Amino acid sequence: MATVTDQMPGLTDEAIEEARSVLGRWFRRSWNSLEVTADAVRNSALALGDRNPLYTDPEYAADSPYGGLIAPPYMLAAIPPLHAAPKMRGIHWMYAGSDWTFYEPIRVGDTITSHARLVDLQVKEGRVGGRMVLQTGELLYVNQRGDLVASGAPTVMRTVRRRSDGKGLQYEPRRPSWTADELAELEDYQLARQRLGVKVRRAADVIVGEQLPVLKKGPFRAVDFALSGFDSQEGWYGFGQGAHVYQFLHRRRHPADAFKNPDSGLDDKAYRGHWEPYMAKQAGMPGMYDMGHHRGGLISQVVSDWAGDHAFMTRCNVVVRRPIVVGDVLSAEATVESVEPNGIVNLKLRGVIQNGDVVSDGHASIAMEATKAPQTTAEKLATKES
Amino acid sequence: MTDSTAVIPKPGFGLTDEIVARVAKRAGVRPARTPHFSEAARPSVHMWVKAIGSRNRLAFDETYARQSCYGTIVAPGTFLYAVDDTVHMPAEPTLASCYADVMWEFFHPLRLGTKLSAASAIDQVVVKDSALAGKAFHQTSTTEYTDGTGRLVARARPTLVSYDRESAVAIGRYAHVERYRFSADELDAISTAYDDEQIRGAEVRYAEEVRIGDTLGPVVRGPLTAEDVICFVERSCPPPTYEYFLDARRNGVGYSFTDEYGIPDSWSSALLLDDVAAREGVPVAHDYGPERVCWVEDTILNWAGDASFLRRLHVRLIAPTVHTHATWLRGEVTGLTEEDGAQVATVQVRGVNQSGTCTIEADAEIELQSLRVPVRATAIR
Repeated sequence: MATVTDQMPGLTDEAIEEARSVLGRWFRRSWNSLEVTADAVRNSALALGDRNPLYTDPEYAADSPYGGLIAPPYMLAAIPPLHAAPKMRGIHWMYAGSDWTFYEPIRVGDTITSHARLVDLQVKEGRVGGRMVLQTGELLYVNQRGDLVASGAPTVMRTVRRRSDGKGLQYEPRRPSWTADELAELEDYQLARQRLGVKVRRAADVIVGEQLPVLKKGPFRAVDFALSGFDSQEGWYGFGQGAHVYQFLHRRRHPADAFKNPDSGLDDKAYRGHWEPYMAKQAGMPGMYDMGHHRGGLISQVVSDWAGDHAFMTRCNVVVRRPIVVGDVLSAEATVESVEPNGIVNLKLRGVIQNGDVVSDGHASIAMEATKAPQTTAEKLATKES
Repeated sequence: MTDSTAVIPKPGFGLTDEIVARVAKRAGVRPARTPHFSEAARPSVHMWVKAIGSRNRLAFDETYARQSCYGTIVAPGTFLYAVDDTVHMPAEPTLASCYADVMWEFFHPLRLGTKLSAASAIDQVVVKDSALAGKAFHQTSTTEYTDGTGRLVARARPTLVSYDRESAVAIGRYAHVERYRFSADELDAISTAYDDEQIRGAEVRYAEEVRIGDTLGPVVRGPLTAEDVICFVERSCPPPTYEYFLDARRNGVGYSFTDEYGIPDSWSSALLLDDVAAREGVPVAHDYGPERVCWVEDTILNWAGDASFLRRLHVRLIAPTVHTHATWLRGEVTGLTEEDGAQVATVQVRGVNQSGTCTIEADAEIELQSLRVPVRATAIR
């Protein structure tokens, strides 16, 4: 039987070179398109606690500038592949965020096809986990009319799991607790949250330096990470692979993806640390930890709530700096950095947990009084090529 | 292990008069909720069959399905759990619930694109003696599923058993349940069973070729992992998260508790975490009951083939299925009749775990094709 250490291969030069060999090559995937249904749109919003009726209420959406239900931009994270981080099997994947650019709204009835390739690979010495590799991909999302609706630049940190020799990622364990009074105050704050909705916010009225109302999420639970339903549409994740025989066949095809649990002797996924304390520890995480690809969806709500229906998010770049664990409360903050003459408002984003740790940062851009990005498909493609 | 004889005789163990009165009032209630999926759409059906571990190509292989007598993708009947999972728990913070029994009647196949809605009603709530918790509520309800034209496509009549958590822990009926450690040979046997699973598919099963005593299966599911359970729950009934969880708690739905760190959590965590499951009387995180109903259906459909129609399915879940446990499903034909020109086979199926414990009992009726009439005449409804 394989020992735990056997299951934690080192990050070798050969493995890195093999990964480098596919740079620039578009992936071939058999499961890379998704029909956008009203159910999928609604369930994505429900999964991340987004109350925006543009995604959930057909009647409300029909009267909106979009004339019908649209998908929340973060729903793209449920369309496979989430990232482009091939090779180096057995080396842990840590989703480090993505720089999304949005061009067109995604509407119910659209079929979105994704294209992915690895475009950058860098070897780093990490502050916490020692040697690691950052793989950055390029994802393009095209609708059934051939319009490029969005692109993404996801980065994945590949790092050796915690090892008996002391190497690899190792956070200090953390399990926050809350008093009843603290929780009551937090819940009152969350329930009082306002959305701009149908009102119009004009770019001319936006002030540089303005801070948006802080959005608070949590305390997080394992259920939020694992049972939300976000990854159930045509999920990129193991959930997309399916259960039982599908898991079994996947492990057979990709034995390095499996991680034997010494207690049960069973092979299972290494990423089960999201909902299993044992594996979270083995992955070097401070506790059962959040899904990195949910992070952008959670934090971007601070922007969409403020901007309202008469605005279109053109960019959202959320970097995952540190894990969020069960019990944490996330404060999503946004500050206006600049306002462009064409009505684009640029914001700085930050995600902070209760102990002051910055777990995410990034940027977002909003086209005010617009229902799409002020660019044609030809301009988009020209931008991508350049 | 707790000495159960010391606690079982207490009358109304764990159930106060107030709780009994409140829960009894549920009879006649018509709980309403938004369908999780409202259409047998291609991605929803595809991901559904993957979630239940089915390799039924009729449900996801468009080219294959076009050649079938339906001419299109057809979802298995239990896809309707993804429309409405039929579970309507009493809103009582002290009660846990388990899915004990369900009678499904299917009237029409679920073709791709069918719009679906569900309406439920609580029929009856009675208190019965319970080996699990001394006393327990047995709630029967009816969920009817209709298509976009208002046509009834299926009906489910589940029995939900709700019991006092603390009583179940004190009695310890399932205190002996633990994670199972498989030998290499046992894992090899499971691997072989997955490889050897017999799927009738496009080969028509004619009634004239079926004999009483013919066997179904084996079909294996598991060893159950959290990911298997997640697949199912995410596609059928994901619990509310974030602000929606807060709404549910504030509305007094009663399925949450506060953990030792002061954090409110939903009882759905028992599907992931042993310590939460233990608070409900099962020491190991476990499956979500309706999932096993789907395993039985798949066992039957594997045997029956695409052109047969499962019209009635009665499943009884009689013991927990916990993480790491494997379930072997086997059945046999117990009857063959002709009803109004339809050839009907009756089958029985049992699910037994790796330790020999029977966790599922089921019986079903399947309409088969006859050699005497063209296949399409009875397959298209």
